[in-house]
Amino acid sequence: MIYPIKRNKKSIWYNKTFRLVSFFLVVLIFAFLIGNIFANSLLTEVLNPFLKTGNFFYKNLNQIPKFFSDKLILIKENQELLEEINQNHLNLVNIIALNYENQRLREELSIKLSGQFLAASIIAKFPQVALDSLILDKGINENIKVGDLVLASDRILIGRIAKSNNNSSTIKLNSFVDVYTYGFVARTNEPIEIKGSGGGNMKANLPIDFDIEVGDEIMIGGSFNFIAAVAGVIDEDRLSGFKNVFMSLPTDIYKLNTVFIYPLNNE
Amino acid sequence: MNKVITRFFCFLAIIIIPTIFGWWLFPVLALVLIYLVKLPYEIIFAGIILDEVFYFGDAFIAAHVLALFSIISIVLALFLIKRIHWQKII
Repeated sequence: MIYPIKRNKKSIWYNKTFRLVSFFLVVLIFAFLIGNIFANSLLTEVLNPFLKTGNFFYKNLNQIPKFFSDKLILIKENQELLEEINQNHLNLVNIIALNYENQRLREELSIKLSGQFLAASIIAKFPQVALDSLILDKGINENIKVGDLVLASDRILIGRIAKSNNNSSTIKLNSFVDVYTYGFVARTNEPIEIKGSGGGNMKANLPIDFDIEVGDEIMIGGSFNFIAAVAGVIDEDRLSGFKNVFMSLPTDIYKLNTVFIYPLNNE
Repeated sequence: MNKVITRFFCFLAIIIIPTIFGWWLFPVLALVLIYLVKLPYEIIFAGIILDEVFYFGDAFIAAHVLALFSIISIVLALFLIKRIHWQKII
């Protein structure tokens, strides 16, 4: 005869409610620990190589259709690119001359000189990360703080730092949904409020008599003027007396590999 | 023991694969894991980790969207566990 030994007193772990509450507490403690800056930085340091791998994968994925392109199409594209390079060389010489003149005039007028820009590489962009956000390979260790301006070049503003860890930071582009940017139209100096609508696009709802044309640049003021958007489509609604101006970022984000960070304490 | 190791590797995969190929793979992999594994609570921890990597906004729901998705999926799985035949391969 076999007599099974049964416990009279059940362990507290048999209680379903206790197990659920303990699990819930473990999840909360884990979330709190991961939110801590040290753990956060360790986590991003471990995952950064995977982000870079994904970035490399998507860059090469975009090149695959070129292997199946018609030779004549590639030859024509090459010729167009060569012409564009020649034109860019001429523009570059003009810009260097203008920059020199700008610098000299600033010195003569005792206006604050250009601040230090910090270059950073983009290690992840859409579709790896959310639309209108980018991840950079520099962070708090290089004095990058939340709110610092992010530029595609000397005068093109694309967004701000939204999150910063020890070795990486996340940019929120100006076209991120519900991001408000306040600037002025370069041609007329009239103030304008722009709202991000996602996908590299921004929108402004303006009175119908507001002077703005397709191609107008929207600048952000301060010690330096940065270009934040370019007007693309204007949709007038005469019944309501307003018009919607649809704008885009001044540059193609998905072709960028390096950005420049302009610390806010330079203002 | 084999099942524990397989679940651990699944947990690593659900963190690493969305990091490499995109955040949008997390909901897909989480649902696949819920189907194949009996109540994979570890996807909640994976969701919390990936919320720190990816940025969706500053609001509470936007900042924790992947963790909330995994919690809701697990809660739904808890309700459906006796109603739907689960693969339970792992």
